[in-house]
Amino acid sequence: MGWGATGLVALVGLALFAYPRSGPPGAEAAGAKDAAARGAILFAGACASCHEAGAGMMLEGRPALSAGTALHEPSPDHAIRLILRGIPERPDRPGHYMPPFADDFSDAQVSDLLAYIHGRFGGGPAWPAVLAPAVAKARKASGK
Amino acid sequence: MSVSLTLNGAAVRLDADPATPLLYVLRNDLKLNGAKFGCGLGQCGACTVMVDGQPVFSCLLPIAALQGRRVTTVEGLGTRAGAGSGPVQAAFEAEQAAQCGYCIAGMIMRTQALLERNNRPSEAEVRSALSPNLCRCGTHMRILRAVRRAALAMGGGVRDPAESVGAPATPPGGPP
Repeated sequence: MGWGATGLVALVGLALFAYPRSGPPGAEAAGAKDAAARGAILFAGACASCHEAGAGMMLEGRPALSAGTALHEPSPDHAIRLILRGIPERPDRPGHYMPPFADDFSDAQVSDLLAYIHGRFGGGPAWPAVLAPAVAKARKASGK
Repeated sequence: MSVSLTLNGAAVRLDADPATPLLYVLRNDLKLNGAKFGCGLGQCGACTVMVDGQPVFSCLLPIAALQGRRVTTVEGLGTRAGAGSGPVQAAFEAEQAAQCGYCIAGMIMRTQALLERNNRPSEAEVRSALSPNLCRCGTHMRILRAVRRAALAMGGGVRDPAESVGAPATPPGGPP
């Protein structure tokens, strides 16, 4: 897909978020599918080396994303914060680490990534199709 | 799919699988070998480059995320074939901060990003900024000296340096 088309999809997505009942029937589902497809690309490049089946971390016995709570909560807030800030290393004791992605991805890209990982690994109530405003809010709150 | 971005000041178009991490495109396609592959997991920092002025792990950054963005690699700070070393590179050279050198491009990029944002950091801010990057040779003290020297060269200075710039690396009377 060209990036002009991607921008168009993002605009359509934003319009749907602002006016959820004004789009043609099925447009929201199509927008969510496109977002997840874009998110799948980001996942493959940024997340798969740790979280995909067969990755080193998985072979060491670390739990899959589907076993985590962040993708099963009613609110995406914890998942958003984890992607933006990662899991910092603790200088005082051993612990698990995840790099932050706040400077890698735009709000819309984090939204796409969430659409994909929530669909693939998550559960519980559906999250809003467009999460960019929530990502922007979390970014502002954390200074990132 | 192609992605258009600014790389070291020049407009480039990347034609590659959009999921490809930037590091592989830099090294394999563009022959910019400054950024190194260390862990591929965002845990060592050898692949650090700047995107829109912020330091990022290029091994975990798919090019799909880079449309219209500004990428700077260590080659963009200065090359021998071009205008010579930039101030951060020159400071690392002056302090002989590299032992094996594998981490140094990443250390330089993280230093550059810090000093562009704040050329008068505290010693603690320097250490915190560089903490995502690992050096397995143990040249941390020389790297910190280089950062202090670079801060001065960029018109600022580390506010509370643990050593003054230009202090001897080995105390007089110390072991040979």
